[in-house]
Amino acid sequence: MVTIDEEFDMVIKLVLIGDTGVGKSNLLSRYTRDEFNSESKTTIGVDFATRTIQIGKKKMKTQIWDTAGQERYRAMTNAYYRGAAGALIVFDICSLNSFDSIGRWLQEIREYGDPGVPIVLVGNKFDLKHLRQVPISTAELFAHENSLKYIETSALLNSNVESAFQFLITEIINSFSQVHKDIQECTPLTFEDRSDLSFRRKCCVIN
Amino acid sequence: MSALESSNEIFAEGDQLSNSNFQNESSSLVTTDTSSHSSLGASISTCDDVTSTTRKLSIRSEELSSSTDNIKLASKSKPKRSISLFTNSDTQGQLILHQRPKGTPERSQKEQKKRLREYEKMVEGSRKRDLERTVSMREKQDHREQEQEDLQKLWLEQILPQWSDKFIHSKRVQEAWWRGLPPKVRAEVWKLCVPNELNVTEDLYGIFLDHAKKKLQIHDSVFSQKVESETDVPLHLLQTLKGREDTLESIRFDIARTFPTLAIFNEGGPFYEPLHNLLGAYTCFRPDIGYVQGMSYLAALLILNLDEYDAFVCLANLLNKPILQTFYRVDDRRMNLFFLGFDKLLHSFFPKIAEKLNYVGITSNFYMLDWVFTLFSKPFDIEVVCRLWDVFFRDGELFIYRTALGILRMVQNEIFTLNEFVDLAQLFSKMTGKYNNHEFLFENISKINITMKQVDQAMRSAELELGKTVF
Repeated sequence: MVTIDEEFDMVIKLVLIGDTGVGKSNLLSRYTRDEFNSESKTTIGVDFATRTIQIGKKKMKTQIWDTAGQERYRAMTNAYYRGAAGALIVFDICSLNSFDSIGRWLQEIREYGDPGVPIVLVGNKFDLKHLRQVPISTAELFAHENSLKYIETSALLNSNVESAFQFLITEIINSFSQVHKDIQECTPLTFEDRSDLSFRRKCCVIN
Repeated sequence: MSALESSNEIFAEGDQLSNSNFQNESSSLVTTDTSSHSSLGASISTCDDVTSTTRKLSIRSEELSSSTDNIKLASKSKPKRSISLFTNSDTQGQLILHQRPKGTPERSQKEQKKRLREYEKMVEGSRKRDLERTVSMREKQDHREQEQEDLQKLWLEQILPQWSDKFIHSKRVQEAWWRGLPPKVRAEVWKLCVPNELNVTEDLYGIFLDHAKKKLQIHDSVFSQKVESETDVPLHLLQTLKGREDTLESIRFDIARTFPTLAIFNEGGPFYEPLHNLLGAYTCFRPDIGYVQGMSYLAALLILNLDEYDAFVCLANLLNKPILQTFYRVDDRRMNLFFLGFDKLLHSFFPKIAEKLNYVGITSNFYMLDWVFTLFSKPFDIEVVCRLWDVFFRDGELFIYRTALGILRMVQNEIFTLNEFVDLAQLFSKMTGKYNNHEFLFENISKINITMKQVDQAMRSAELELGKTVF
């Protein structure tokens, strides 16, 4: 979902998904606050953060939903995929288990997310490459077979985190531009009038 | 003063950062900018730190305290001006003179002396006020310590020896209980409040703990084999894991991530092993539920207050309560009913808060999920959580609704000020500053008069709306 409001030219929702403990929350904190917290808390349900970026002359706000990774939570977390403009599926390069789950995560997002939502596959914990269990070639092959972009990151070393998000956002912009040939000329499709409420705000949604 | 200067530096750094990024903008399609929200947040929290540090200093040193107020003011409004005015007491008079704007007439000597006298008076007044504040804080501290001693005596000498259903419901006991249990009696009272209805014995705990350890070993050996030989998992070995026992593996991820700032649950820390034991044994005890994230918080709070076996009995029986069963079995139908019911309760208690949250798109599932799964132990510091649990054990499920409404009442100013979905969601997931204070929280909870009848009504109405009979 790409939302346009008065303050920002665009607001997009991104979701971070993947097994528990692969470093989703730290990718998020590195991207939005440039922080790595070795003492981060377990995510229960979903956590959020935002970051504003500039695309040409447009100001875009990314709203990132960091979901809990435990399989047991899937019944709840798949409700969070709705309206996401893009997804990062994360695994830990030192955990074959977490890589084996990617197929299931992909299925989930394709089933519960909006159709054709851009996805980037992220192999995190690149700093622990001496403990690597997932060879780059295996991950690349999987990504290729499923038409995904693949990137390896280290939230700890702040390596490639920026690029991973940029990859995804570029894909979103590209797919969005195909629908609306020129972003700058795009006009709101719907207008929600919330006159019943005192805190009125213009808002339009483009799906 | 150095603290203040560093806060200025941070402001400057923030500006620089966003500027430098701004310059890079045109170079590529997607160029980054520092999040305005995040950088502002960082600056504000730094100022708060400065304020709290200087507050602490003012208690210790009378001399330093006169500058405390200035820093407080400065960190909120105009830091630079405060630095030049109050850096050095010897040059105060000169500095005041030098502050005269260009083009304005010089002050007469009489005027100058008058201003200096006024200024000295102000400083003196500020010193006195700080001294009074220090004395009153000390008195309050003494008072609190005395109160704790009296409470402990009351519990040890009167309440515990006379423990009965009738007695604990007396006004006197209920009032004492509301103030939180003294640490010395907490274990005893919690055990009395969560009776061992499941009849878990120490032997049974030992058996499940043993199972857990063996199964985790099997799991690890299977997966290391898989990695080395790059073959599929030998299924016959994995078949020994029943139900959701495969969740045993994920426990270790979460132990160190439970109350991480306390550091006692880190690997090698004093509580790592006991917490692992509790959660592993529970997973084998209830393989139909297994380990579910959030459980580590409940187990951690119990192991911090009770012996390992007692903590296990308490955990098993606590997780058997209907509301926690709904959540930990991830019964989404009942959970949705619960969230909708709570939305209705909120609407009847605080229609304006409900309307605002609804407008921003925050329904109760966004905050209640965390709050119920961890019984409020994720958003608050441990001393606040202990007091909440003390009263939860007294009042049961009703206290969950009461606390949740109390929290929303407490943060209502923020709710009306913040307009962004994410800002509000973040507010609910971590209570900071004055909101992480048990006195303030309990003051707000005490204002919520709610009965189980009201809760049932809200739930029934939610049930009708969902059009399904789930209870």
